[in-house]
Amino acid sequence: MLLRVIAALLCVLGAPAAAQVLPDDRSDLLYHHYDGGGVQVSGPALLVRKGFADRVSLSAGYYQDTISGASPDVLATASPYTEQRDEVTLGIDYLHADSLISLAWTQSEENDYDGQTLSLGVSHEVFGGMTTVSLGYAHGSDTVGHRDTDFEAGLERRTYWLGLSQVITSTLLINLNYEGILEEGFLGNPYRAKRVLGVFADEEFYPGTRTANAVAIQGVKYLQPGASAQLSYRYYRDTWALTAHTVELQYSRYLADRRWLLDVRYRHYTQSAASFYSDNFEQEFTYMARDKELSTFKSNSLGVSASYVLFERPGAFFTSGRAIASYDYVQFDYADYSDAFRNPDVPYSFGAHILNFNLSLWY
Amino acid sequence: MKTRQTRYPRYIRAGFLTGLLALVGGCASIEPWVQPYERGFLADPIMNAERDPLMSAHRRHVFDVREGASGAIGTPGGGCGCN
Repeated sequence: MLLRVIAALLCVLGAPAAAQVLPDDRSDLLYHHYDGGGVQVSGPALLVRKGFADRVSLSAGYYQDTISGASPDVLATASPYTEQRDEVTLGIDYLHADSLISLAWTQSEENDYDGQTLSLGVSHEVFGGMTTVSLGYAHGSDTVGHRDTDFEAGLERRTYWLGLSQVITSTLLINLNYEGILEEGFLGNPYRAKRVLGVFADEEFYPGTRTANAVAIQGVKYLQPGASAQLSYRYYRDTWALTAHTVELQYSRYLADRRWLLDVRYRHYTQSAASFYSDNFEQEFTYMARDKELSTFKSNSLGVSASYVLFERPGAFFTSGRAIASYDYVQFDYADYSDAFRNPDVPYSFGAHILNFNLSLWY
Repeated sequence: MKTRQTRYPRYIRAGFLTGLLALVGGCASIEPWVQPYERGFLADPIMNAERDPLMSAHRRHVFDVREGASGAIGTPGGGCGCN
């Protein structure tokens, strides 16, 4: 498969195309906060990008999660905890013969989980800039540990993607994306236990591999004056028999002579359970999981964002600045998962709040 | 840890090859029906779902770690690297 991706890269480099451009030179500073289901996650994030000689754009990012509390499935066998995850990303985008080639490396560290991912992607405009084709491959290598024991296991992740962005009219764009994810190794959670006949027993048993395929279609329509509407749908299916559907809608609109930009969005997600999931097993099986992320559930979220142009100074070092605040409320409703200790007879549900503050500077 | 090489089903590999053929097809010239000077609205940031990369990545991360499904939305290839 890797050889095919390389062959695609070579083809892309030789194909005629319209002009590609490097990403904007900009820096973003984010503060993020999540509160829901007994877990709070917050922290800063920074992303800096700078181009050189109109050929190369370098980027560096830092992302921090401080996690406290514990969700009900972990609380069944462990105590609430506080931990920090630090993620560093370095990237380079190279513009060559009207193709944009992107290489990125990401490292994530927690006290019980380390992950590294290397990704290579290429995008190329064809048919006079009407179509943009993108291809890519990423390889991730994770190490899963346990805070209180010397447990250690590996997880390898290979991701392939293919994307197509098509101009339909002067105000309509359609994006098609496919992503395949192959995982091999330890795919469970060392803190979680299965429940058999109402009693929490030993650790869960997961298959050693998981292959997932996801396809998505998105339409973006410009609505005059100064507004747009986006509609997207994703279908997901994996070898654990988990099937999911995601629908997202967003309406965006400039206000006050483009000084403000408002977004209103809605997201609906639904999934079926993995074949080896049960809230309460009646007997032992080869594979057994009680992860609520593998159960039958749906989520609905409603969000708003407001972006404000702080300044615009063409010719200055910082050419413009923008501040953004966003809030989403997400409601998760589980069909076959219960909070076994506090309310074992009622399907579990919870609401979550997601808050972001972002400062962006262009130069 | 010893791992077994996983192979994609044939239809997935065929899909990738189709993608490659689409790329090769780019060598042929097709007259664009929306001229470059007619693409001003399409280039407006309001048309870009990923116009704020950090916020988009964070929002996607929140859903990826709490749902069984992932992929095909937003910047691909990241993976979670977390539990």
